[in-house]
Amino acid sequence: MYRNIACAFDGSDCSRRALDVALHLARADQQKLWMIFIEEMPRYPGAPSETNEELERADAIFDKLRDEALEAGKKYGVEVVAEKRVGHPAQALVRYVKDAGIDLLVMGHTGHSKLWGTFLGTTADKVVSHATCSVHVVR
Amino acid sequence: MQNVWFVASAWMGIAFLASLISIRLGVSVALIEILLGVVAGNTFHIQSNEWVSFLATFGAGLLTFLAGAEIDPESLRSHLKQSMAIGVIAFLIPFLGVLAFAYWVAGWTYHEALIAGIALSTTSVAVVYAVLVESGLNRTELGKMILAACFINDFGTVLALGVFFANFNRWMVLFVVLMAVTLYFLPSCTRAIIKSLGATRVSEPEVKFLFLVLFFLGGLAKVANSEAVLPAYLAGLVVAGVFLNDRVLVNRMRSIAFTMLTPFYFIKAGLYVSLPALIPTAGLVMVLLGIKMLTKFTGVWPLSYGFGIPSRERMYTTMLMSTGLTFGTISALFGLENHIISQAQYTVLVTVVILSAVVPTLIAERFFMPDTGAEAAREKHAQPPVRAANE
Repeated sequence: MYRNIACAFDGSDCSRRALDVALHLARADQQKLWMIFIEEMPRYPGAPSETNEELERADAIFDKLRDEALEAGKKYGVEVVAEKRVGHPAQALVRYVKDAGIDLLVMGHTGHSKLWGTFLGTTADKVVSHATCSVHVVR
Repeated sequence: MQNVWFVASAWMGIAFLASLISIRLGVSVALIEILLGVVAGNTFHIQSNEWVSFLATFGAGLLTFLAGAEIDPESLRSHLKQSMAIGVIAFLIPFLGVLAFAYWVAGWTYHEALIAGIALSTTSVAVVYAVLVESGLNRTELGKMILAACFINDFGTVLALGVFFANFNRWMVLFVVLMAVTLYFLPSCTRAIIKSLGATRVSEPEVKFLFLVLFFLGGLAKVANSEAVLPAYLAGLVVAGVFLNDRVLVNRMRSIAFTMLTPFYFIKAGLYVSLPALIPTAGLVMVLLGIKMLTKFTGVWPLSYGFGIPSRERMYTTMLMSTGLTFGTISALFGLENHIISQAQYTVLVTVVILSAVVPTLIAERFFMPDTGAEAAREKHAQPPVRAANE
């Protein structure tokens, strides 16, 4: 049904459930799965070092999550291709699905900031509103 | 409060809160520390003292040193003509434009107007770098050229700050001579210390050596009535090549800076912003922000056009060169602490500086972001991306 399936994975509980769903769907459609991780940089930093340090930290997290996704992919017999982008999570995801020609994006309903999402809307809310592809939000 | 431990805990409490808020909002800790400083100064009337001022001053110096050390000397050399032209113009026109407005229209004295011109002539290398990383442009020739231009722009700012208010006497001659000799030998000495003693010793000799040099040059600058950020920035520039090959040293120095020094500087910078003074001067703030952006546009846009930078990238470059934060606040705080400007004028300048970190960035990202994503996608279809798959 879907040719290019991607899963937004940030290591939160909800995104782990989303990864499971995405792997099920990819296996059913006999497709590989694109795992996308967004590195969020601090806005308006006071020194370039601030950005560099956050990048290094985010890179280490990405390496860990990529290994986790690859392991999960092996269990399902699905090839997982991991990619990272830098930016505001919602904006970067919307841009990613457009650039990469993704048909379906699977993502968790809330990431690491549940409290904040309650007030300002979650990343999922924003992606559903602006993405150019179908979005499967996992609760 | 006299108890030094309680005073320290109050400041570190603000710094800790700033870190928590910064992580939650995804906004730079520097900006949050300034804003919490504003709140602390206006509601709890927290004051700075001598040792806080020293930590803050050294924090600003170390931040400046690290900013200078972040430059890639090779990148600067390969884009020297374009970045030199854009950097010099991006400093000079806003400096003169704001100086002229503050002096002739706003009625500030010459020295007050000088501080305004210097504070608003800056370009924030840090903000520009973050935006370039986000757009992926930091790896392109355009991105490297923009960054190099920002360094040159900021060099203009620290030079102006170090020269305009200095005493031109025998102490200045001594300062210049000793600084030149120190800077000449600094890269080779730093390399030799790292090579002979090792870069990972617990006693951290290389960090202590660099601090020694910064303290010494700062002391010389003070004697000549100049500013410690000038030698700090120059020291950073000359050791940039060493830092490029020794990331451990950079990481250690920035850990020290961000934990123990820069919070004191940024919180202190916020403490002196007077909210009551902001209300009657809100119009002036908007006008100065407009002048900063307009003068940057006047200088950078035609040059970018002349260098054949495409239309969208040209506007993007111009907007990014209009940002400012660290050197803007350093300049304004220099003016306040040396009794050159009043607290109301400091409030105006710091507010404009903070707005200049936010407004041009938002405009650049919203309307002029170069289409690097589509380019990446085209590459992706030709060859699939990061193949981290089951292989």
